[in-house]
Amino acid sequence: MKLRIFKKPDGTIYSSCPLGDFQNKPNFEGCKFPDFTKGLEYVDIDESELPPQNQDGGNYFEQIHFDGPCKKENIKQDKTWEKCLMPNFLIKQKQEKYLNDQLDAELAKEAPDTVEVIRISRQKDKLKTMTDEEVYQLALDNLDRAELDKPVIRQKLQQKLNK
Amino acid sequence: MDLNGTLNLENDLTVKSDLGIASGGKIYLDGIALTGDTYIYESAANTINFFAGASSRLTINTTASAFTTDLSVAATKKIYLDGGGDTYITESLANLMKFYCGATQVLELQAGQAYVQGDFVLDATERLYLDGGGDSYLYESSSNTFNFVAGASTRFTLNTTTANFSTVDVNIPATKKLYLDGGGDTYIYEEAANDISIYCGASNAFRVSATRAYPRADVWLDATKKLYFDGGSDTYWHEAGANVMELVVGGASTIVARNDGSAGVLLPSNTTPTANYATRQSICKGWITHTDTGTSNDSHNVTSITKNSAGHFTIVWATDFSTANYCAAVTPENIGCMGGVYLGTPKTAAQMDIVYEQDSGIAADVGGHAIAFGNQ
Repeated sequence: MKLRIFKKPDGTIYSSCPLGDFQNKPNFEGCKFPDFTKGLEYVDIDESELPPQNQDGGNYFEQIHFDGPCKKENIKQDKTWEKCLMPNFLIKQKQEKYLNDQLDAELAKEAPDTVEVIRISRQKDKLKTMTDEEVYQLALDNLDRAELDKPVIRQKLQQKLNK
Repeated sequence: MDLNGTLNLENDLTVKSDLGIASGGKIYLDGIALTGDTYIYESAANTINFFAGASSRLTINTTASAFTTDLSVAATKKIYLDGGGDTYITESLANLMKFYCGATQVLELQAGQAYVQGDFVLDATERLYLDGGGDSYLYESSSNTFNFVAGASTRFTLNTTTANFSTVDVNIPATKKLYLDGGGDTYIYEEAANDISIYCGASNAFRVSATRAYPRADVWLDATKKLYFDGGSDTYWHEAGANVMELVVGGASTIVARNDGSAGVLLPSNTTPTANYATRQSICKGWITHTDTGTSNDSHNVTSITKNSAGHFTIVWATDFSTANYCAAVTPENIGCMGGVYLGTPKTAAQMDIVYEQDSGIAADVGGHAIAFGNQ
């Protein structure tokens, strides 16, 4: 199918698919797109020209971005999360795995610290209701904990938090 | 010889030269002068009268011969009207009278019958009476217009373009046909008792009886004309516009079916539902089944779907709802997660965001289905 790829201000994309007869109309004439795409630059491509975008094989929609001006050849996939923010759900998934590992380690002890187990379990519960801002802060904290540099990512996270 | 008195002769009189009788003087033929009653004389200048039995029986003058008695001609004898030529009247057989003109028989009369053997001509507007001069006759009322008058009223008029019956029924016997093509294969007739058929081109195109009308060919209505179901009141089908059919019931539009570039059926609006009756409020106005990558397998009234992030999509309706208060249901194509309308971006009349999440609240990058009901 043909897609219209909008470039978000942060370089990532919205992928819109005109449906029905609009697929065959020049420039998708008459097709309505979400109001939040108004004013955004876009390119029209075939679906096959878009990098893999589902999480199978480590591909995520949030990794697709324009590496430069809004042109078809600039559509890239940032699999190392150097230029694009990791999707919130993935931050949560990774945090959930991290907390599960901690919980397993504590429970593996001969005398597990009950309070610690409850604390970790409570942190897992909070993941379900965590706001976007809290996720961004968590991502910054994890970068610090892992001692990862990723200056572009840090800058984007900070911009999100400043909003 | 000059006689100043009466001359009585006992024997026949032979005159060898002119015999002059003074004007007014009579030649008596009954032998009694002055007192007889049968004689010939000049009653006026150039007028001769024949008296018999004291009455004038024949008068002849320079222009006419007038009989005051029957004129008898022997059977088979002719009365010539051309001085003995070929134009005459005669009784050729007993009680059979013939008129010849120029040696050609033109009229034959016998008891109860008159037989014209040439054209029979009436002057324009003159009448041919059929009742002895009463009130039933035929005539040309105006140029090329032929009227049949019965009982003093015109019943039938025929001219060069039409034949019109007026004030009378037209009766055709049962099973007999009224041909409309000069006796070919297009006609109307009573095929069976109280059962009338119309044949067109030898095919039975329409049949009607006391209980049914049965068109046996396609039924055509001109555009915008109505097919009433209530005797012409307020319930009918009609083509409301080009390729737009409307069913009006009780004066209100209930169903509109169109194929004028926007095909579909418009149902009636009814905010008070009736069991098992579909209304425009009761039908799904939009639906989509979409993939995890933000393309669609199939949809209705969705102009585009946009993938905003994993498990987060925006659906834009082709035709907007009237308000944002429409009802939507979202379900993922995956067990173990759930879907819903995304409240972080409130839906509008024109579009709605949908999300899929796992039980943990973490986004699920899956495809799904969405449907919406509401007013448009």
